[in-house]
Amino acid sequence: MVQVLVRLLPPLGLTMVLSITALAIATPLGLALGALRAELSDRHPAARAIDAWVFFVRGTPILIQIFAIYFLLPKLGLQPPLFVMGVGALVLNSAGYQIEIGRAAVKSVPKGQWEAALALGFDRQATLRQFILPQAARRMVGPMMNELSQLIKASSVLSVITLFELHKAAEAISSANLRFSEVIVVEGFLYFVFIFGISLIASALERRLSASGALAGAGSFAR
Amino acid sequence: MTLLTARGLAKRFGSFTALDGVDLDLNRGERLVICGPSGSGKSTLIRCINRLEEPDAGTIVIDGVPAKDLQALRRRVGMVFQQFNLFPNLTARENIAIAPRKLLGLSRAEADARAEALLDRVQLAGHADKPPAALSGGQQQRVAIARALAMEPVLMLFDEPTSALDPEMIREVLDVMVELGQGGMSMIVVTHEMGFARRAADRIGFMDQGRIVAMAPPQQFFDAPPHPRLVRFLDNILGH
Ligand SMILES: Nc1ncnc2c1ncn2[C@@H]1O[C@H](COP(=O)(O)OP(=O)(O)OP(=O)(O)O)[C@@H](O)[C@H]1O
Ligand SMILES: [Mg+2]
Repeated sequence: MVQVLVRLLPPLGLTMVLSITALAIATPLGLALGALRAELSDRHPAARAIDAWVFFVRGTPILIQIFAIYFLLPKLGLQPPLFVMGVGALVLNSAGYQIEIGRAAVKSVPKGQWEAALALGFDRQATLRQFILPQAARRMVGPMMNELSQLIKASSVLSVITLFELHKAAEAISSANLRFSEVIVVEGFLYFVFIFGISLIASALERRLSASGALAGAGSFAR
Repeated sequence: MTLLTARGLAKRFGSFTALDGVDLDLNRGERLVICGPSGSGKSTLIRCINRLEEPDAGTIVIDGVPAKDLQALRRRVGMVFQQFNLFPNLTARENIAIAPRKLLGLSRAEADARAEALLDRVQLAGHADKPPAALSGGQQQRVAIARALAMEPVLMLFDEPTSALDPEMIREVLDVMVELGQGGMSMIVVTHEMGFARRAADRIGFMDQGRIVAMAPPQQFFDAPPHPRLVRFLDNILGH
């Protein structure tokens, strides 16, 4: 049991690196596109493109999204390393959700904040950048940690493209030693400990932010 | 000398007429109080002056310049809101310093110095490093006044600046406004604080159904109300 655990630690590291890298790209991307979406009319071409992205991600299983990257990129003449494809698939998926989170976060900043900045003489773009986005970003902290948990779970599906993350490694070990239930218990335990740890950090962070008043009036956008 | 001339201001929301052809003149250094029943268009009127609301018709000239460039106009017209609307993630000092720094090109040191001086002026020296959440409502509103003053506006607009405050904090905000007026600032103040109006206003206007239906100096306004609906309004508000 301990032996299995030790052998699963490096792949767990890859799982974490994959998830955190994807989160670090998808969160700012989601906030930026969500803010852009909040500013655009429904009929604007960019708004339609963003909506299509969200629609695709929400409407298909992550397995399809991973295969879309894995099989379509080479057809377009791109052959990035597996790790990049894995992160790409997770970003595609996560940003699709975080666009909605970002849009809701931007919309949840009270109208009075816009009016205060506009009345001082800031234009809309400067108001968004200088005052609205920083407040929206704080409101994304909770949902973002939640998203990290989602990403860690989703990353297990990357085993299908032979990326040697936690689940792939567990598969490899159990098909070698044939102790399936033992390996599954250890694998599940590792996922659980990390996701639970993240949720503890998330609620501590949210408590601190709301104590500082930064989240006054913030809603929750958990998936 | 005239600072602001508004002619024929009109604003509709759907089929509802919020402003119905308002003419308004304000002299430099003049303090005008606007009152009137809820929904009579007071907020809409002053929000049209700095174009937070786009009027459907009418013209506004401030300082001889027609209001063309939105940002340029707003930099010269300060606004104080009922709900303060301070930036919650910035300290009091940063709330005041950010606009002069970003919009007027002041250095951080210059903008901070301006913020400190203004905090002093609104009796809040020593509170510079606090975020809005650590300040009382009255203190927040005084920071909001300082924030607007930091752009060195030629005109200050107030939309019910004390309506969201607990009674014991109204005075400290009104005192700052009285002093501002005595210092020569041109002001348009929407308020139901009739004591303030009597004490600090040069003229008081009464709005009803999207029009200014009466306008008079305080004494005449209160002692010989020039409009029947104003008589009823004053009876209600002064609790006669
Ligand atoms: N953005 C808006 N959309 C629709 N209707 C609006 C909007 N803003 C104001 N109104 C309506 O216009 C009318 C005048 O509003 P305004 O806020 O100017 O009144 P007010 O005199 O300031 O009232 P109060 O004393 O309640 O603040 C109200 O009936 C209000 O419902
Ligand atoms: Mg109003």
